[in-house]
Amino acid sequence: MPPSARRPPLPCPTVRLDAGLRTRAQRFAARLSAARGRREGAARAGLSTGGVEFDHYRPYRPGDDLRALDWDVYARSDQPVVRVVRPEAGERWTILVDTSASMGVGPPGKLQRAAECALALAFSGLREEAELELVDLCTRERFRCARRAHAAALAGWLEARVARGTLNVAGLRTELAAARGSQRGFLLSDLGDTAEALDGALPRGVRWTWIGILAPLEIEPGELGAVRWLDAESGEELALEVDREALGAYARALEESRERLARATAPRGIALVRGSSALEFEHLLARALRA
Amino acid sequence: MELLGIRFLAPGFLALLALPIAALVLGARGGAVRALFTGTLEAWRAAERAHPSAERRKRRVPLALACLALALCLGAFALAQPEHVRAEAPRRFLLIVDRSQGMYLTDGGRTRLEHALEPLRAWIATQLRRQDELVWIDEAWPEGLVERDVPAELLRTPRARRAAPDWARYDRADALWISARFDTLPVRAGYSASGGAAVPGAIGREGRARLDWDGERVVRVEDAYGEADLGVFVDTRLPEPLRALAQLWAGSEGFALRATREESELFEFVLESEGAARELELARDGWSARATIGPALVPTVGEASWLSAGGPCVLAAPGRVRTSIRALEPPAGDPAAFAVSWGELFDSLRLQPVGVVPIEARSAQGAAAWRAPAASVPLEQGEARPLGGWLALAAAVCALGAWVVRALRA
Repeated sequence: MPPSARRPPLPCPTVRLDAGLRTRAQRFAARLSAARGRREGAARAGLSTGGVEFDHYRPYRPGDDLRALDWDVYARSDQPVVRVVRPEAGERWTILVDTSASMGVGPPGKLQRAAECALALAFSGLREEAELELVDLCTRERFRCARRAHAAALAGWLEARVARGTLNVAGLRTELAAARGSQRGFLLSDLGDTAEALDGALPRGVRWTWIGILAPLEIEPGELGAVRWLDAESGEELALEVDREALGAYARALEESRERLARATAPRGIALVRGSSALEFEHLLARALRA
Repeated sequence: MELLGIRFLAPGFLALLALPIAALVLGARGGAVRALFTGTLEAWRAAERAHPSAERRKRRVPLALACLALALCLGAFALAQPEHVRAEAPRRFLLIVDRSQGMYLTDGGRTRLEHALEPLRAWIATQLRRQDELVWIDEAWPEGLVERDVPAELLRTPRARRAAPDWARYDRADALWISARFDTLPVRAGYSASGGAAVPGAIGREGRARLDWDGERVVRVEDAYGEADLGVFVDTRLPEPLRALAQLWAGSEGFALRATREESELFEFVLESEGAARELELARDGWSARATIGPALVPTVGEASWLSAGGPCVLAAPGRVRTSIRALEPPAGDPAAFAVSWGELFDSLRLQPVGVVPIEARSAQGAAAWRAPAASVPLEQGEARPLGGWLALAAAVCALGAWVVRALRA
């Protein structure tokens, strides 16, 4: 169906990261760091990339991984201590943020939630003294920072993102390839056509986490009756009656799409998580970092 | 309140029909097509391909709401206590027709009676149902004549003078009065007044002279009538005192005595001589006499008893006197009383020659007027079947249906 003349505006095209959200992101990053601290000696879950360096010793506590016990020190001093490590200096993280118009769907807005996730991830990276690069996948704008002092500017850059335009598969492929040299890569998107971008070879050495964010209306629309669906990116429309049968068929199509993407990402070692924009960013990231 | 054969005993509850209408309007508004954004249409296109029923539909009102609205409608009708009334219950109307001479005066080529019958005919054509009855009331039909069209007899000018109908007796909702003009309109009955302009012409007779009214003045026309116009019949078998008195009266009035009875006579005095005779005393107006009379007379249409002794023995009607007095002895008392008594009777009954109409009838009758009968007398009691119970049951079923549909969709 061609687009009609009366087209409503996108419901949630912008990002707002107020002081409360920034605090929450900082707190999340701190909690993540503290949790990692409690698991010293073990392979760091979540943000661990494998590239770590020695930081300090601390006394052994029951439950610590015995592999982290420094046997030399124990032999010399008869005191059980474990080695506390931190990421290697010079680690680089790439955070790709999808700002296509489809991210303006909501509420809650998908771009808003993606920006919150990006902010929390960036704060975590800064705590790990990683070098960050945030990329707007539509405008190809970039924001690089490596110090906590850049946190305010980082939030400002994210707040300037607006959901508009389309996500170019070739552009995504380019940005995925451009992450070469990063130890961690994050893709925050609704993961619409991203499977096609995996046709090309992903750069080696990057541990990718793809976080797919969908609006509640896209996950469980409910029996809405007569609806004129508007494709946020292409502008196309589709009018149909959303009843039980249509919902069932829609859910199956959505599941097939998810499985298709899972089949494409799993062999490449990409951690794939999908969630609703109705979830708080902490919940989304916790799931993503556990994956 | 009756509608399409359904009578509502509590029609006020029909106002509740506004509820389902409002619900449907609000439901239709709520069910209007919404425009919603999605990241991609692919999944919805797949849904459309998998389930053609998911294509856009015309229905805008949810089925549950439609069921609920129907239940409310039926409930409102049930509360209004509808009854099915047999539509075919026949009705009866009484038609009272003034057949005085003035109704047969022509105005514009048609008689006043024709003019008065015109709206009645239209009413019959449009309002009278096949099973309805029209009963024509006239002297000619004491029991009433049941006929759906105007009886031809009504359109013929009556020979004898007709008394005005007893209007007051028929002032009822199922009656229709038909005349040229009504000095007092009926309260309940319908009416049809022909109205009409003045019709100048003969208004009286004096001997052989005719009195004409030209619209302003009365003009006397001498020798306007001959013997052929003024014939009367006096039965020669009448007892001597009566025969002689009648002949003297006829002579004084300028009438011509005929030997045989004819239709055109202005007066007739006839003896009914059949049956067993009896003797008795007759008395009236100060005279009395021994008489031999036959059996009591039976009045016919328009006749009234003037003298009675063990039953009517003298019957009077305009233009006619019938008696069963076969013999009469000379009356006792004042002889003049006997002559005056009978003379006044003859005077009151004589007819006018053809064409003579009282001036009151010839004068203008004003404008035509019509009011249909307000109601009818049902010949049978229409059968009424209460429908409220069935409607309440249907309403309950619809409400249950609405609940089931909603539960299934939940």
